[in-house]
Amino acid sequence: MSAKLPLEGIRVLDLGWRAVAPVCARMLGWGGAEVIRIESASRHDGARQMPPITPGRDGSLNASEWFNNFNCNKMSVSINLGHPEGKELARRLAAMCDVVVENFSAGTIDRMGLGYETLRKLKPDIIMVSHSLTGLTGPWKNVKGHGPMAAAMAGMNYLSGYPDSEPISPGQAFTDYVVNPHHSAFAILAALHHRRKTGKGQYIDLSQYESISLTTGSSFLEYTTLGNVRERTGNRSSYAAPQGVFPCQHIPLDGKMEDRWCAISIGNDEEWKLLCQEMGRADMVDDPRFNTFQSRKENEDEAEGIISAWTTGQMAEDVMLRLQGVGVAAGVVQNGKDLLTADPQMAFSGHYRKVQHAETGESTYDGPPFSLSECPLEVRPGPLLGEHNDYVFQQLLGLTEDEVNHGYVEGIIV
Amino acid sequence: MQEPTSEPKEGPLSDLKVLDLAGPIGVYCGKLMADLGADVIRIEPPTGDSMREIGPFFDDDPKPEKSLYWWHFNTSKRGITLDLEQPEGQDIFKRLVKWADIGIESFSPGYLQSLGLDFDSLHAVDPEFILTSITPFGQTGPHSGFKGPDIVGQAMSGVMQTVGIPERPPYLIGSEIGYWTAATFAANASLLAVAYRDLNGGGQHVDTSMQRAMSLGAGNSMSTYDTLGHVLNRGELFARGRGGVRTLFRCKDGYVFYIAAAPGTSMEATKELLTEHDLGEEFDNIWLDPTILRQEGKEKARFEKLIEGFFLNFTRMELLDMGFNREHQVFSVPVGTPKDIVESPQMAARGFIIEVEHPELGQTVRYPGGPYKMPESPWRVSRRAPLIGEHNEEVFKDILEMTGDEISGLRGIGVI
Repeated sequence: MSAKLPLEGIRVLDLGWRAVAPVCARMLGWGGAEVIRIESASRHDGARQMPPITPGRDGSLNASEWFNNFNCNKMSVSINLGHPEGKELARRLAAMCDVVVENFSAGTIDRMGLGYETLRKLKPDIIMVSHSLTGLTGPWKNVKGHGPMAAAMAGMNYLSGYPDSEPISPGQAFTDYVVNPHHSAFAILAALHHRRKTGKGQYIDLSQYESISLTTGSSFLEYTTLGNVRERTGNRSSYAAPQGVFPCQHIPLDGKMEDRWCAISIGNDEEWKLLCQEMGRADMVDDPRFNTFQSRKENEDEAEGIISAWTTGQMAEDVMLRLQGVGVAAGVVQNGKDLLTADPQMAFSGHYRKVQHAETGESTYDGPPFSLSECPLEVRPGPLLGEHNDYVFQQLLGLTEDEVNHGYVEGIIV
Repeated sequence: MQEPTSEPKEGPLSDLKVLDLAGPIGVYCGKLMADLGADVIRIEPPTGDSMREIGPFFDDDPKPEKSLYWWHFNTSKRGITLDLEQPEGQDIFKRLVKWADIGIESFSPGYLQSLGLDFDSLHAVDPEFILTSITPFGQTGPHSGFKGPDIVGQAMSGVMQTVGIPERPPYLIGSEIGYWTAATFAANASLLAVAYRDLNGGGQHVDTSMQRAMSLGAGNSMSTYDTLGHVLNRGELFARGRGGVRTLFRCKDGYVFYIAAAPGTSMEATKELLTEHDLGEEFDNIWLDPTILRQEGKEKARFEKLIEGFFLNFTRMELLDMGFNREHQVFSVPVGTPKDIVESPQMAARGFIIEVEHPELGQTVRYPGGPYKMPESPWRVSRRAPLIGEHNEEVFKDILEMTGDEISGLRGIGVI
């Protein structure tokens, strides 16, 4: 009987906290791996109480939609990793896994007795990944912290925002939710492929600092070959002009009038012409201030002013549809409500998945942002804390009833 | 004593063969695979890919072989030319499909079909072939025909809405992060397809959307609306940092990113550091409770003024050093520039900066290293990005067993 999912038969141990390692493991869970999180009611990491919390469920450890979204398709076993017997149970569980993911600061997992050298003795072909801030080696390995700090160090902030104002950090922990976990998931998938060929596992060292620096494009080469430090350019592009976000009609939201924007990007002279015609400004088509990329770049402020005057009185959706209709790139700057309730493409694609969860009821999660024509991928609710204790302790670890009772009594199983 | 000779270890994807036709939205996907050992053949029109027009340029010389954009995103790949619009070109492509495991493309939906090279046609040629398509909105649907440069992807994904401050328009996250994200998810999806094929046999069509990929960066926005009916706006989350204190401060030689109170640090830690620098008297103990600083008002302003003054006296590296070489760490890190990264002692110690040969220039160039270290099957740049048609002879002779005459003939009619 053929497998239905790409990672069927693969088991992952998720020792992660907050976002990076758990989101990495989510990709593997989407792919069909069995993902088991070790968690502890007595020493939980706060992720289970990150907002947004389902109304009426304050104080629950199971009602954080932030947590549930990032931990879909996973099992939860509650083991106290502070207890020596808890560590032993964790090691035994790891020995039954193909992949282990963690994102503690460098060296921590080793001190916890769950480092690669230890686990490798139990399972020689194990694949493990650490997501330390600046790497497991080097003079800065004791620099600890959170993803947004690595983003700042690695150039993402410096290259975001306008030249006349401060560097900008991404509004949500973008490097925790997108950059680092998907660099590491790719590495894990590659390592699994390698193991299939050679039987060998390995310890993958992902430095958040290094990983994020790979998102700054050719700015690295610009410095090493030209000696230029690339500066931020706001919403502009070095090869499309004008480009930016343009103010549209304000809309009522939460009892206030909210600003609304449409992004527009002119990639060539033909698109400039189409934009002018749509704006009713055929006179500008041959205007030497704007009729080449070079001249548009030089007069970009002026071009933006003219476009803004045109967009201001219109709804952002209308601007987008009018311009896309004639072949000009435009897109509404959308918010969470748009994505969930208004965007016809997101609806068409079935990207958002509805699940039924014991404590949050009907909930919406992100799905994988791609489709595989032969194997539709599933999204299942986030696990309640310790929900899979029976499965893990009895079926996987083969503990007797006495051993399980001992575990609860001694605070090993919490 | 003689050292045993050993083969250098190969990357984990060294058995995979890839045809890369992707534009800016997907070109990083092939780089991820090639730098891990896959044999990636970049396919360009005979006059060269339009990405070669994107600067900056080596020596500020705007030539197709000197685009730093091209160099960065096409490391470790070989390169051939092929005109897919001619029947001979389509035929050659199909023969390459039989050789390859994966194809990566980012054409507008429908274009490949017009050439008889859509997934169904290629599947008929080779049922094991995986086609990874990367587009702004997906292969089908009401917006699938939209033009989607990076800014449109970032805007429509919900991410841009939360980047910046309410007083200014929303911002892009720098360096075409929409494209980066689409390409990286496409790479993940491609390896899932390979894993599926290893288990079950058979190729498939992988359809990746930049909008959907980027929207995973707006997980807070989606969940907050779904759960609470509230729309998150910029300024509500990380711009204001933990503890409510802002995160960005000027210092002597640039900016630092500072987190006042969060797991791993605390207001006590900041107080200790300030005390060591004779500012202990000015630290008001009311600030030890970070909830006080989370509220807009007098206390936050007073604290920010104190810490601003402190940071201005020191450079970024001094602040990094004094923040972390201590028992209770203070989270203040440099806001790094590209120069900082290249010159970072950490990057040097990690061997992150590598020298890549450019024989056509008679020199090596310093490139960034990989996003991960995989000691058993190492990441490596095996060669610089290809020149236009650099591997035509080798690919057409070795893989397609063409003769020199056949190759000249194809060149003569502009197919390659």
